[in-house]
Amino acid sequence: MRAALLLALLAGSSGLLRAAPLAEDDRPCGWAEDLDVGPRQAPLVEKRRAKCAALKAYRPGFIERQILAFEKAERPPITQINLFGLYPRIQTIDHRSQTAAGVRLWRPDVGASALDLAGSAFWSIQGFQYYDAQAGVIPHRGRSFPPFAIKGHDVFDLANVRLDDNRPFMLYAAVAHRWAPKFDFFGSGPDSRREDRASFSQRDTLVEAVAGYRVLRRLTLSGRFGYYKAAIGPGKDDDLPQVQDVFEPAALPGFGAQPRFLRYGAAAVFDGRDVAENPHRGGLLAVQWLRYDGREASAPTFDRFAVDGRAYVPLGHPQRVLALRAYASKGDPAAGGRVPFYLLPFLGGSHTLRGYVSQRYRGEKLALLQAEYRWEAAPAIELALFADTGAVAATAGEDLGRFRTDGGIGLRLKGHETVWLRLDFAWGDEGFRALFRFSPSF
Amino acid sequence: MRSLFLAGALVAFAAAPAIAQKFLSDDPVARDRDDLHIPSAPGEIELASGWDVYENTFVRNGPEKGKIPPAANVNTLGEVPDSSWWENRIGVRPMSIDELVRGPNQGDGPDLHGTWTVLRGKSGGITPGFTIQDARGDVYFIKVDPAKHFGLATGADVIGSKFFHAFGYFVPEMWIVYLRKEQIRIGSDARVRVLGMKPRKMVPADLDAILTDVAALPDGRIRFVASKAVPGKAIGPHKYFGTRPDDSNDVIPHEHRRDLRGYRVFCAWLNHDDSRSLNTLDSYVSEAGRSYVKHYLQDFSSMLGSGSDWRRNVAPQNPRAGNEYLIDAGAIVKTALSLGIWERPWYSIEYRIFPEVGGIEAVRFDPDQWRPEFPNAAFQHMLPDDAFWAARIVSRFSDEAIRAIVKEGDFRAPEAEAHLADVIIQRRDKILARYFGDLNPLADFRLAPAEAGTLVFTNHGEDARLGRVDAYEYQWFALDNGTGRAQPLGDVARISHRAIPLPAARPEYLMVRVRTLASGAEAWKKAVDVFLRTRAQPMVVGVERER
Repeated sequence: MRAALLLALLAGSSGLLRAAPLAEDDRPCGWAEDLDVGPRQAPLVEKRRAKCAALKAYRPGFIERQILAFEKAERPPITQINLFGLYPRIQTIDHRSQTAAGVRLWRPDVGASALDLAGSAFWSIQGFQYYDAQAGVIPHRGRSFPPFAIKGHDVFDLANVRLDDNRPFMLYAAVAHRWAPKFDFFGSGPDSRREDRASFSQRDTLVEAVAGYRVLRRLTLSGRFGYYKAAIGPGKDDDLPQVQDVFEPAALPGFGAQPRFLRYGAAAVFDGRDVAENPHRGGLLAVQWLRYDGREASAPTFDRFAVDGRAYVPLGHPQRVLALRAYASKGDPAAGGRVPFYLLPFLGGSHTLRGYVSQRYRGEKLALLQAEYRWEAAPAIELALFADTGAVAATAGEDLGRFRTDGGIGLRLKGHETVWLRLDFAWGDEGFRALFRFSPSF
Repeated sequence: MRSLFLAGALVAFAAAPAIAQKFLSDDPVARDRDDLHIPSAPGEIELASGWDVYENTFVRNGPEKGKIPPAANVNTLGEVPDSSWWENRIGVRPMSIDELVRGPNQGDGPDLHGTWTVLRGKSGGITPGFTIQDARGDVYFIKVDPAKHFGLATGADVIGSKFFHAFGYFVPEMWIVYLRKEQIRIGSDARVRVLGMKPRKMVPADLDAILTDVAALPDGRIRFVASKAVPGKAIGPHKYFGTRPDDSNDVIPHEHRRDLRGYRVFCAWLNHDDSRSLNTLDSYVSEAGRSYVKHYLQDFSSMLGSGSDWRRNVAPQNPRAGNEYLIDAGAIVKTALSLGIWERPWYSIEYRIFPEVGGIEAVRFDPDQWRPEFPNAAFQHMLPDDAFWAARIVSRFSDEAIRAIVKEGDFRAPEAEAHLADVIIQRRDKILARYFGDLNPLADFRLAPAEAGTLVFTNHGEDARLGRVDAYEYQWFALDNGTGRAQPLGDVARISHRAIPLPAARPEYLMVRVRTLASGAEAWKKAVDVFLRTRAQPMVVGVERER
């Protein structure tokens, strides 16, 4: 075999390369029966024959192998790893919870029926715990997770409720339990001081039923009815004083005893955004009424009215968007009553006053205005300049106090339908804050 | 004068010290013998799509300007010899309209009377589809269009196959066919791959998912594009740089192949922005007792006006397609730093969108600014000579030929079809204007049999109406093939027509230096040196162009 090849190569020295006929099995690499090449081709032929001795398989590198395995679904995406519908997750679960680890159960359309099952169990490095279970027709889109059951009592969260296009209604029951060992309280009202920051713990139990229907293409009406109980206790933040050591009892309505509430209410959401979590045009208007009906004789009963309006205005091109938000909330306690301090809505944190820490300003009444100029450097990269201003009043009868303002710049990595990562840098009266979130600002 | 350039590995490889002569006995090489026997089949390469983007965008640096070597697989005429990559077709001979529209197709396509048996399926991705075996036993890859885009992807696929075949590439045979769903059954061993999930046994619901809401005729027959499996054993795609380490014949780095560098011109013309490695296929074929690797292009469904939306569904081309890489650092930085005030130029392009042919335009088309989805090493190495070579091939497509090929898309929408053909014609003219303006556009030098003693040629620039020639200036030389020195055989002379009389002297090698004098076309004055061997049968053996 090699002799034949050698003969052929020797023939090349006279100007032509010719290969002798060979049996099929003896044909070596680089052989060709009809090979008849001249001096111009000969070096290439020699080079090819030389490569015969150095053939090796293509070997993808480490990163390439990982990408290929992902594309071939040999290894499912990390977000899809689950055991019988139990998905491990690492995420924040509440204000001040920091990172939490846990599992989410998500079994949509059980047995090809309309029944969905969801559940969560989380523990955070700050000692927070959260558990919930939901069953029924739970609002969701595709295979994406539904919101936590504890969410939904805030008008902000109504914007995140997604009804599937093919199932324009929701009807489900939920039970949730939260243990928050270190919530902050700075006092209520506009003049609360940063140095008065104090700690308390809160344990909530919620059992409720929720029903909703998309009456028009963009308009959804919903109602909820349930039982809510909170228990307030000593805060577990060793660096902060306890709330009762800082504030007079009059400044801590509801601290002495936490009643049981029947909680019920209704909401209407008009969602005119083009894409819910990455809007470039359109708007959203959510209005909510929620009654906390105290079950003990001394317990306060109060209503909460909230409105959240958002507008997204393209500026000449969809890559530039002016995003505006106005949010207002008012608690309306029965005569002589007060809204418990732990149920006061607040400003501060990644969705409201970003230059202020979470739960910074609490009050029975509050207003917030936000504006963002967003521009896309690429479809997946968005930058933003933003400003937030908001004010609170300690009681519903008082006027809103001084508006607190902050501003900043943001960088967001996103897909067409969602923000994967949001990095906002905000400056306010109380300093600089860097926010790292996996959700849009609004 | 500025340097003249004789390119090519078929030249360069042979220009080793042992070979001192400028022209060798086998010049010009008509066929590169890269079909030498490989005893065992190379392994199948599985290329990750994401890696392809990442590697070409972030890992590989583009070539340094001014340091790009000439293409390495051209002969002394500057032509690409036939090889396992390329077969000269319309570039070297006229192709009839019938031949053009037949394209790569050898047979009649899949049998439409019997049943198709599904062998495997793919649900999800830009073009969900499946592989079938027809009643004759032939295997085809089948794809469909969404109902609201009759012909969009399938039409582009078929049109692309015919164009790229005519250029000279190897492409699969492809047909548009119409068949009832009832004639399709799932094979007992069929498996399906759903995006993001492991392959599993295919069930009727999978076929339903693929064939739901797809384009069909009023009589219910579904429109398919059937792409016949290429001969041999498929061994995966090839990259646009380097060589396959398991293919002994593959010794010329792909970025230095003129057929791959010039591919940029073809892709720009037809807006084939999806011209990525994943849309190539190498096959281990056997013929004449040899087995070797043959290189194919495949999947033209995302070209012309056909593309995909953000969900990766078939849709009219994204306006970015062809105008900007998926990740373009320059544009990102400019937009970021200008607070979004700076706008990508293509934002203002107005596309006329047809459901059947999507969005493609010619008014703002600029061949230099055209971009594939992500950097392509071969495209980045394209030199003016490579572009000129490709543009000459583009110029061979008449308006009539283009309209005939577009008709093969079977769009059943005359206005859309006419629009697409018009745009292709206008883009062709822009290609020619761009690449025939850089060099002296004379080519196809040959000794005229009818006019003995004259050297005739084609002026592609004038034929494309890019300039009006006042005269051709020429001077004959006697070439010493051993030293490469040229001695004038007379003074510079002028002619007004495309036939240069041969000199009376007959040294073994003659050289004539030709310049084109045309008002408004300065570059045409660049010299073209044409070499003739005068032995027994005089023939043109070399062409060199001044850059």
